[in-house]
Amino acid sequence: MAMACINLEEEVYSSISKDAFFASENLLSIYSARAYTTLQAWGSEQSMWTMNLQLGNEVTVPMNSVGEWKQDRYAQLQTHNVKINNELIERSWDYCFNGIAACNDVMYEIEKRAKDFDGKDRILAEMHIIRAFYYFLAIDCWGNIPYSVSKEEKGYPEQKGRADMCKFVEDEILKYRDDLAIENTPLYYGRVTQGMANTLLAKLYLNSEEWTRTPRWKDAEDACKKVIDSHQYSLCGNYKDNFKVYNEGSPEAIFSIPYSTVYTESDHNSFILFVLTLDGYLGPTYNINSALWDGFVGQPDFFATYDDADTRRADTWIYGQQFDKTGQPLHVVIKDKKTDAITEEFDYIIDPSMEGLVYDKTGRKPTQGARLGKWEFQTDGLIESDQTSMDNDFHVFRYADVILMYVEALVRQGGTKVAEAAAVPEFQQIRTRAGLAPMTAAELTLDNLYTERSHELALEGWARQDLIRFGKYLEAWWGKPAGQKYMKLLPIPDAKRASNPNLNQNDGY
Amino acid sequence: MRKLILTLLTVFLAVGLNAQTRTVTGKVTDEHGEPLAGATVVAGSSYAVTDLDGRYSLSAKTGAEVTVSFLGYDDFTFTVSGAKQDIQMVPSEATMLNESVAIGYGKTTKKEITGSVVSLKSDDFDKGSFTSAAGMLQGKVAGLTVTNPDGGDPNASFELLLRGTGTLVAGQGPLIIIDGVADADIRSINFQEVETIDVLKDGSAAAIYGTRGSNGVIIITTKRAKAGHSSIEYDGQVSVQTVARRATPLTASQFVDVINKYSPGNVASLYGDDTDWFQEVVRTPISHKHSLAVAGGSDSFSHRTVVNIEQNQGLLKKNDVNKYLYKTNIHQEAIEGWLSLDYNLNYVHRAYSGANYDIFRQAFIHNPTEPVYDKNNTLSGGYFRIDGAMDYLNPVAMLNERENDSNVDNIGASFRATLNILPIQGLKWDNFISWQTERFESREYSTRYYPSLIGKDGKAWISNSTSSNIQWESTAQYSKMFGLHSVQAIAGYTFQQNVSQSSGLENTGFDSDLYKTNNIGVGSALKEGMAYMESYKESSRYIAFFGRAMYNWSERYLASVSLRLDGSSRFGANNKWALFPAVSVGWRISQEEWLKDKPWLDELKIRAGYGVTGNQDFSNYKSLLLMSPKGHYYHNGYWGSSYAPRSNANPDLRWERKSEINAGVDFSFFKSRLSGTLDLYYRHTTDLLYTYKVPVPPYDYEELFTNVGTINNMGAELTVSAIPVKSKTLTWNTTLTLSSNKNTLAKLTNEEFKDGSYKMGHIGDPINTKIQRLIEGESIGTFYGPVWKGIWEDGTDDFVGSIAGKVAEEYWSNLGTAYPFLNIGWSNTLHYGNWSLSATFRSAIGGKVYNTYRACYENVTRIGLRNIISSWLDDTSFTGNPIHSSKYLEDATYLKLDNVSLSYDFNFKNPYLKGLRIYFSGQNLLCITGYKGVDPEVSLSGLEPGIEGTSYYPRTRSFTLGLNLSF
Repeated sequence: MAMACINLEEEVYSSISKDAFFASENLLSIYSARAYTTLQAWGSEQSMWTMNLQLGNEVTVPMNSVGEWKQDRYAQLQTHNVKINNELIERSWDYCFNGIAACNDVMYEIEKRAKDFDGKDRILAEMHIIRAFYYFLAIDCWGNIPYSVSKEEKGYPEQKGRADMCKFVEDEILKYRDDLAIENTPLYYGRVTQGMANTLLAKLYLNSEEWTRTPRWKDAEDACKKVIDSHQYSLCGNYKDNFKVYNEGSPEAIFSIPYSTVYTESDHNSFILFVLTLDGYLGPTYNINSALWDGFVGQPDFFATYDDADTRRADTWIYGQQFDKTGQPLHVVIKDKKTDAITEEFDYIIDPSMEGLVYDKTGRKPTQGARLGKWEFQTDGLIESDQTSMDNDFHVFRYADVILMYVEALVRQGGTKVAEAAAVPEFQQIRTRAGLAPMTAAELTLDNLYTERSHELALEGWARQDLIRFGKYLEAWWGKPAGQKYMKLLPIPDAKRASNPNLNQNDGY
Repeated sequence: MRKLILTLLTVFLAVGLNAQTRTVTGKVTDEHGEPLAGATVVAGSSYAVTDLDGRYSLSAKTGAEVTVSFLGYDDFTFTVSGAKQDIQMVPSEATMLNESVAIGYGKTTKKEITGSVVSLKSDDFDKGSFTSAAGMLQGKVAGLTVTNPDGGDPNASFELLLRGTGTLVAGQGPLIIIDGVADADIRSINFQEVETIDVLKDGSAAAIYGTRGSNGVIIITTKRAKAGHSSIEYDGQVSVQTVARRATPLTASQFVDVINKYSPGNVASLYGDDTDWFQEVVRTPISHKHSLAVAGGSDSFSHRTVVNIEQNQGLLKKNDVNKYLYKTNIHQEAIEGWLSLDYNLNYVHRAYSGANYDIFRQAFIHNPTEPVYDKNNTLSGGYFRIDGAMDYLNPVAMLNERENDSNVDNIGASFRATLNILPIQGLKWDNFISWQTERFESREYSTRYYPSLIGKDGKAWISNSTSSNIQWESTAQYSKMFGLHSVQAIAGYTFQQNVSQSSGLENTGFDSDLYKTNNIGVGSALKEGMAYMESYKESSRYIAFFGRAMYNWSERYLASVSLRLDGSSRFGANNKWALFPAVSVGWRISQEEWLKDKPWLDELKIRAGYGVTGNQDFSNYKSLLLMSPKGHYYHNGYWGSSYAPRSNANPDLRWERKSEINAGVDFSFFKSRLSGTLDLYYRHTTDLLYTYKVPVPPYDYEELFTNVGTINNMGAELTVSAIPVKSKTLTWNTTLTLSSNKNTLAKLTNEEFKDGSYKMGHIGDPINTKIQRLIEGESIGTFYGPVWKGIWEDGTDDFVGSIAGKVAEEYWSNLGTAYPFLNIGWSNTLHYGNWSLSATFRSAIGGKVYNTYRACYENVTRIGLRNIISSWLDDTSFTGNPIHSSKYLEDATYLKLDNVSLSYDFNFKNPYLKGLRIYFSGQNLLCITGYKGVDPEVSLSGLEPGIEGTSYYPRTRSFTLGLNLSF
């Protein structure tokens, strides 16, 4: 009673205060899960993924026939004339640094309070590697970024350059890699494993020349080899199986963000591709009863780079004659609501060249521009009016990517390594799976390798990084003039510099 | 038992021996020897009132004490010895100075007070009808702004703002204490029951309330149990209201003309009818209130009980508030003066149908050529409806197709036991326990024809909440005179705990509208996973230790010091406790020898005080990192919940700290014919709470609620009361209050927290702009925008420095602040015989108000499906799109006649009916202003003051006829 007279502890009822999570291991794993759920923003409308799609040469979002999508935020990305307050850039920044904060917090709390339990080191290692992944993305986009790795630090985080940050990410991976699980089993699906850590390391080394001026092709080769030699992954017999609705069993998946029509339904954590690319005429074909925004289409020049024999073109894009639900060719008839008179009718045949379109001047007609169809649209009718997520999981790291990186690392080292690259059986399997002839060592030029990567990994979010690494990012392409060197880094959002005065803006902005 | 019988016997014997009842008669006269009619003469349970000749007749026992009282005169007491006793009353020139003033945990007298405290008695209040006791304070206290921002809604709350805005986002309302219960809801009492209201204004007075004192303290004392004969009082009143001012859209014929002449492209929007949408949704509201109070008892046991019934109609149809109140107070003395006990019980039931203010906006914008009904439209339920029109809802359908019934029960009980430690004169120990609980239930059903819910097949919403507040206060008090030294001291402890919880249910998709909210589970949305439920619980605890000592020497030199140690569960772990000191001194110059005998001077006192107070009126749990479910994660084939932080931890979170210096003069001349008070103050509030953007990481969440800013308020307050006319037949009392306050936001950011939003006052479509800014060095509520120059020939607005018709936001000008420079209240009472007439005026001078009606509707580009404001016809040269500028910012100066009351008192000698008073009053009678909108008196609290909204419930003018009977 005497204590009650001066006790001022707050009692919380309708939220969970942090302390409560450390009562049981089950709650602790729920607590750690937030480092993973922050990954799910990858596939939403204004995300790291869509930002990279726009900045690359694969996708464009011109104004459509009803005047939508004329937002400046897309035009800025399309033309590489990016403003410091661009929403997608800010969302991408938040994606990285909210994720880093979540990892820092989970690590801090586990180390500080949790008693030892089975798998504690593994959970900690997972947090370190997810954080390394977020830092890797931030290094890629902004280069010079705030460094904050401990919750105990006070004050504004300092800004560090690319070389320092690459070193940090490398050290983290090397230090914690071995604590991770190696096996690719359902228990570790969607989680960080040794395969994921090595793929991340390979990507870091592969871009090392661009980011730190120090080529590390051999290190990249070795990291890829570790993934290959783990024998946990293999190529799917069928390319399309990687992208089907229930694609969680794919042997190619090294690091995936699982999505669900039911559980990842809100706008900040969904995989929203069908909303972004389909329109109201195509929705019924897929039995999709949801608002469709008719925005994202393929860039015609990129579409034109496919070999006619390449089955990945049809596996990635939707074009040509479309069909209705019953399989009949889609014929659109538009009637006046009042008089019922037919005002317009046309066959729904998509023209991927978008002939006659002037970017953001003439509205893009529904039949202009190839739609993004790499991930199979579910036709089970589960996508209803309020649902915004597809059920397809997003394989961020895929075995085919590792093989292509491995080949690239070999080719870049030149000499006998080129022949070694041509002899990688999985590489040729990627070619033949796509209906193409195997590539000879002579054909293994960097340009050809780039083209192969761009088709195999189209729309998977790596185009911008690859274009930069292959020295093509500053070239002019459809809807974009030639760029300047500073554009390879993105501007640091104004709001972030306002809340951290240590951050200097990247050159050129 | 034997002892008791013995005692009783002794009492009977004593009565038998001494009690010789006799009739005492006499005449009561004033200081000039003129008879005083209506004076009360009381001896125990017998009672008399003097007649027109001042005569009385009373039966009393020899030796009994008789008290004669008359308003404005000192009570006269004599002991019955003979059959005749004439009395000459002495006017109570000193009465005012001896009036008791509540100062928090105690009382003092007006002459002894050293802080800035305003004490209002029932005579000071306007007579008439109020929806809340807060309304009685309007214009009565210099420095206290009382506004009802929601116009004529009978369910609206008043906004109280003392000495300017001293916070950014914490609460601005003063601490309200009703009969000892802190943080009480002023709506739980009835305005007729208010006996006194004391307002502690300055820091030295309020510091005894620590972290709740910064916004001032209002101490309300209701009428209490009194010893004396039984009295029964009935008060009944009936009121009728009319619309005072409103914004008028175009009539149907004007609408047709404007479309044909200026907007012929919109002829399709002419539907041929003539509907006054405003009249379709309003009525002439009639309200009535009845109050019955019964009191009486002996010195050792007395009670007062009140039953009150009110039925209030709002201007908007279906907007009703009914209130039923029961309250009883019992006072008991026990153990030979050792123990005083005071019990309170009250129960208030309020049943109301809330107003949807959006109906007024929809009625304003609705096309007057549309009919109300369209019998053939079965989808809309027979209402006229334009399919697909966004945010365009038939106001009559909104009114008819939704029922909203809320019930609030306030139950309160409190108990005070005072132990008088008789051997040590002046020492007592006081314990006060109170338990207050509020239960709220709201049920809302929108039928399948509610215009924004067509296709949803009805929507039911039930919400419940309960909150309870337990308070315990224990104080030791000591007061004593040692020769010329007078000492009063108090030490105490207080503990308060609030617990509240709420829940809500929503479902749609009902087969029939007949269920309403009575079978919420049958709606189909529940099965489809689209129904909604929520519940919430929170608690807070508040603990304090405090002490105060007051000293005076010969009632000439006065001093007071107080100290409070205050703790709140809301504060961060590093800052749970806070110390609040105060000191004040006074010098009653009029008590000095050289002034003491000046006949023209009653009182002249100068005083000064310094005090520190705090503000902890923000939500619970703000210092904690709280986790909420956010999203799901995939684990081994299953989806589980995951959590994310929704706030940062801030273990340093603390109160906002205000230090205040106050200096004042109290004066009274010519036997109170002229009296008043002047106060000057400077309030310096630091550690203001605000939300800042912070980097993530190291923070967990992108915003932090923390103490950074500083606001200064300085001002002057003058109250002058005079009795210009005082004769046997006619008295005129008048009181003028003047106050001026200057607000400065001294600091909004610091080195660590630089990024807090500073653009305020968002105006929606078509302006879509924030029109106010928080700028260091300027006042809160400062408007920014382009300076309007005039209208170009092409019909668009021209601004100073505009480029292509626009002025970039960084070049906007400071257009002035919302706060008035001067607030004035002027109350008058005339007594002529049995007639009383009172009138209260109120004025605010300076200050700006944003006329959102003009900004949004005074342009012809907006006409079409929707209506515009008729004032566009005053100047049709503007045909451009509306852009925010000084054009829509107007001077908010106004003069209002708040209240006029006329009453007549009948004095009866009848033992059954003692008094009858009939009164008639009018409220909000007149508003003189240059403002072109509805009412320049808008909300001045918060960070977005001075903006008149477009969903405005018009203020009404009300007329009340009342009858007061005393038995």
